[in-house]
Amino acid sequence: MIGDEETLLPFLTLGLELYPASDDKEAERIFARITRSREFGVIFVTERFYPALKKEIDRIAYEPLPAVVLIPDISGSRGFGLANIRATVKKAAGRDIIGEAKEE
Amino acid sequence: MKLAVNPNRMNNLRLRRRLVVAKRGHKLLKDKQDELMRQFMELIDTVKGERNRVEKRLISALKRFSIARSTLSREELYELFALPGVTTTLSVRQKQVLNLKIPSFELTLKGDIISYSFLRTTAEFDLALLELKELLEELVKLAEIEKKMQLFADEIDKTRRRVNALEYKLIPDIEETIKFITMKLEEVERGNLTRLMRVKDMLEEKRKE
Repeated sequence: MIGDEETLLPFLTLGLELYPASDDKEAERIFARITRSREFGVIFVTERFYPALKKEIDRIAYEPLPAVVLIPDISGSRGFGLANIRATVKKAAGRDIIGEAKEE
Repeated sequence: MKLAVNPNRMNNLRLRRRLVVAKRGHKLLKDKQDELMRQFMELIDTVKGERNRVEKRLISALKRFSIARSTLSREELYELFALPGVTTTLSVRQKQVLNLKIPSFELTLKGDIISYSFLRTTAEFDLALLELKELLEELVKLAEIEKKMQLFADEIDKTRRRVNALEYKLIPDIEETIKFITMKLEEVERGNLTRLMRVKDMLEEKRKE
């Protein structure tokens, strides 16, 4: 799990491996190391660092492992998770069908 | 665009066989695409619902925890959690859906989450942690279906490209080339025939002389 310390703290007692990052650069470094190690099946990333990691996350999105899950931090969701789903649907369908469904 | 082959019978025959194969492949791929799409549609709804639900719960759980721990300093908190009571292991297995290998995650939590001193913590603190523990399982489930969705999307994209390549490029190309070769062969045949007739005429004229 990569994120800011405040969000990660409660997960400490759940036996997860936590990698607190204080800025984008650090998050990038940690993410690169984790994906290279190939020891993880699921990586949670708080949305705060998504813009910085977007390129890397998108690169591994269509590989079987690892699964990257965006989680909101304590300040609330920024909608990146849903935007991601939307982008995936767009790729599959060739167009944005979620948007169309809403307009009906 | 017709293919670059010599217009002869051999190639005509070969191309006609290729056309049959291409058409069968196209049909199969089209079926696969439809099936993928059908499953994908179902998946999107689940993923969207789950994501919304889990996100909301996670935020509220984090807020609860934040309030519950407000009585503790950062150092005290680290001290409390110094020995995690839970060991978490994640096992990954693969499921086969169509030709896709989909990872499936299973989370096992061992031990009691409340492994710290009750002296300085409140009941809310315990509850917030228990809620987070439940959420962790849901987060892993979310990871699984989101990954599945991404893999599906990728496969659908690939299949669509293949279907389109066959439908709009390869099959029309082969058909055009077959037509071209057939016409060319007919033309050669006609040319042959007129030449024979002409030779026959010439021979007959010679005999009369």
